Amino acid sequence: MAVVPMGWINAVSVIQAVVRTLVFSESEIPDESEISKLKRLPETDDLSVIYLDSYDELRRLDRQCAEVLQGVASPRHKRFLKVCQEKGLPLNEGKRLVAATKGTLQGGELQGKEGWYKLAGDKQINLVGLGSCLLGLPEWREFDVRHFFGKAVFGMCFRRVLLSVLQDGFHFLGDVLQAKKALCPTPGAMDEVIVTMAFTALMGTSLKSELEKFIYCSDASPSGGGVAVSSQFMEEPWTERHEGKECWVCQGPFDPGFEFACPALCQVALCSLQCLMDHRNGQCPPAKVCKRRHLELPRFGERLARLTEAVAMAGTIDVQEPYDWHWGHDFFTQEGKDRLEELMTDPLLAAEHWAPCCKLFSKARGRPIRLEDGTVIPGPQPVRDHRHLMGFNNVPVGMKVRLRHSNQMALKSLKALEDAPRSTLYESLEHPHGSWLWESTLAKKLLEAGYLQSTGSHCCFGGPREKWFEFRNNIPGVHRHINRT
Amino acid sequence: MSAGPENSEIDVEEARRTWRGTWGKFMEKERPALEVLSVLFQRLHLLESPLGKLAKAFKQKDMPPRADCPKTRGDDLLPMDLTAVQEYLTDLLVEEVEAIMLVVLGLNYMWLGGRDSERYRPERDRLTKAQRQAVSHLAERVRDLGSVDKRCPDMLTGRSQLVEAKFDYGGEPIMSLEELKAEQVIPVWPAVGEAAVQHVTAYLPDDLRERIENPESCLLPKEDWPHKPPKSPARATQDEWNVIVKAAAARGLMVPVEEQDVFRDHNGTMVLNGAAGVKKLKKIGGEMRSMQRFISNFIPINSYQKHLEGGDKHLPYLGQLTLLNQDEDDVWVVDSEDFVSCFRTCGSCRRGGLGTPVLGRQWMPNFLAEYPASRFTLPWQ
Repeated sequence: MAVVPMGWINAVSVIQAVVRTLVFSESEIPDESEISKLKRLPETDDLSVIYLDSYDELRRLDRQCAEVLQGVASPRHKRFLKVCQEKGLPLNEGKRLVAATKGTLQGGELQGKEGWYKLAGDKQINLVGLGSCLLGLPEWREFDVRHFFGKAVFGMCFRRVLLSVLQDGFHFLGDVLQAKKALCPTPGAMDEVIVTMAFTALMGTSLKSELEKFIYCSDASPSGGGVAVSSQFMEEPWTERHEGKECWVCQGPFDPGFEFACPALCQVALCSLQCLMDHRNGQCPPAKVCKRRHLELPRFGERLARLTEAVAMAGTIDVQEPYDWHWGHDFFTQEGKDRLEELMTDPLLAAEHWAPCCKLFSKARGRPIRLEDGTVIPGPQPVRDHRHLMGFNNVPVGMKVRLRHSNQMALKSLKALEDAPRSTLYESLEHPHGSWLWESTLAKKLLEAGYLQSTGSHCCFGGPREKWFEFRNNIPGVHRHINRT
Repeated sequence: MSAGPENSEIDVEEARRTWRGTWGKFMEKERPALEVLSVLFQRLHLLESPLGKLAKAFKQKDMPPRADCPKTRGDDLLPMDLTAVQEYLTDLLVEEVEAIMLVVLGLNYMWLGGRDSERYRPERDRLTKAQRQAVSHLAERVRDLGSVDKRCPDMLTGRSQLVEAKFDYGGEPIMSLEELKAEQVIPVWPAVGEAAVQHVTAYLPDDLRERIENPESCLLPKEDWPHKPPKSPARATQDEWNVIVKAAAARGLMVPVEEQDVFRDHNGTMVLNGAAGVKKLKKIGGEMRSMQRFISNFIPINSYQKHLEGGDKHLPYLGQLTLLNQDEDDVWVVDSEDFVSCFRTCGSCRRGGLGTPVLGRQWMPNFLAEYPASRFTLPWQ
């Protein structure tokens, strides 16, 4: 195909962007006039609605003026027509409206003289007809119910208080789904169909209704009551108005596709894990600190920053700083041990991923290595075998120290899994599939305790070559995803 | 004492079944919406349900006012006495009055929270000023519904619409896929020279343009790719396909692609898409003819691609449009334009392509169809 095919996943993104450019840039129609879900309703008398392949201009005119201008295209409309003509973009003349006082818009009908925006008339009759038919059926199938209530919800969007009608219908839908067969409708579901049919006439909003300047809300109960008064629209509490064009903290540009949303949904976007943590931990100018910092989110702590970054990108889960020497942590100092302890005892910690250093655990050590040009060189010195899982005794002093460190890190990880309250904490430990670590008594005990053994290869997940790894974990979803043995 | 047989749950269920049967008989003919609502109001008191019981309570005119329901807060809008509503609406047709009473009954039912309606005792009272205003408003809306020039379908037609047809969110029927017929597809397409006249990237904001110019950047990470491409056949005979492709190429809707350029998955398998037709009625030469929309099925290639945030975030939101306001002396007027050959309703695939802006040539290997018999022997070469 050489055109933008509608079935393509990004067709809507692309076409909406193209038509916006044609309207706002090419036809020089002010983009402040746009009605968009991202913007407040413009406070002007001339509005633009762009919906994929259509451009609608809504003008609020004085009644007498409207009579004079009936059938006369607006200057904006003329500019748009000219642009389309110049670019050879054909328009559907059969659907064209010029200063019409009645027109369809988003499945609704705008009655410009009467001041109503309502579910289109044919859709209203269709809804009454479907409800009527449903009432005459001895039993209702899942599709019947879903079909009617789906359309009812759409119609109710034109006067949203009507949504309060629906409740038992959805319970009935659940019953039908569970039974996997048609059922006799419940009295509550029948009542809701009837009330929906009756209220079809009300599926619209009077644009002439006055807005109350004050909204009062009160309640009374035996133990006391309260009253609230609202006189203006409020921002969502503790949120920022951030356009997201540059990082909220460092003001730097975003790498394409690399943008972190604050997990507490305070509406700001950050460019890196560091900026995200500074924002959450309050280590940046006060105005840039998360206003929702006190909200308790599940936290994820682990060692490798790339996984932490992936979790942070997914959003809604707070990430701890990655515990890694790259981030300035040293497990072999008291300060480093204290910091790890602090991170591990975070009361909101929900998931841990351990990946201790594996250099000295590989079973491949000692095997010769074949280079790309065919040359064979001796492999690194073997330091363990199945009888000396903690390492050989007769190794140089320097290697002894490295072995000791390697063992301490591995043991810390294994103990963390052994001691974790598995009902509340997600745990995983990662090492190469051919690691001596998995031969240890502690690692085997984890399997007996119900931990899962998940094995996969990098090449199954986009890696360049076959390289097998293994997870001990208590996360069935992870196991299903990565276990390829 | 055990409940009598007339009160048993089975009998009540049977009564409801009978009510539905009677209603089904009434709907054997197509009827205007107001007649449907009016007759529904007449029969509602016979239905064994909370709403039916509420309708019954309102029918019992000699019912004394309920003692424990004083007007402690003054004149509330609800509940409204139906008899008072009927007495107020003197100059309307019976059907209109009964449809309005059904709406008022529904409002009373909502006021009761849909519960305990059996115990409700309506107060006999005249309507207050606010209630009269509200009823006038309801009357205006019900008469507006009555003015729509369309009838509710009879039971048989309605049932087939409800049970068999599937509809999209805009209420348009979803048609079943058919084998493509060139003579039904091509006349619906834009004429030669009308399609693919503008390059899409010239109209995209910088960030989206950069992604579109580099299709590789739109791919999902390989670990998220499916194990093998989903299958989606092209429904056409080789002969029909050849004619269709030739006509599409002449219009710039399709271009030839070399085999080595075709997008492949991690196993080297080519990812090919599907195509089919759906019925479309089109007026050609003053005569309505049954034609076909060319539908591309891109489920295979979509399985490998990311969703790009572009113009879709700027789509309008229906709920905002209901916030438009208007003074008594104002009128809203609409100027509207639709592009030809673009998709016409949200989410429906109306044809193989937009017909106007074209993507860069680097995208073409992604949009290749698997057509029958001789893949890649492009018919127009």
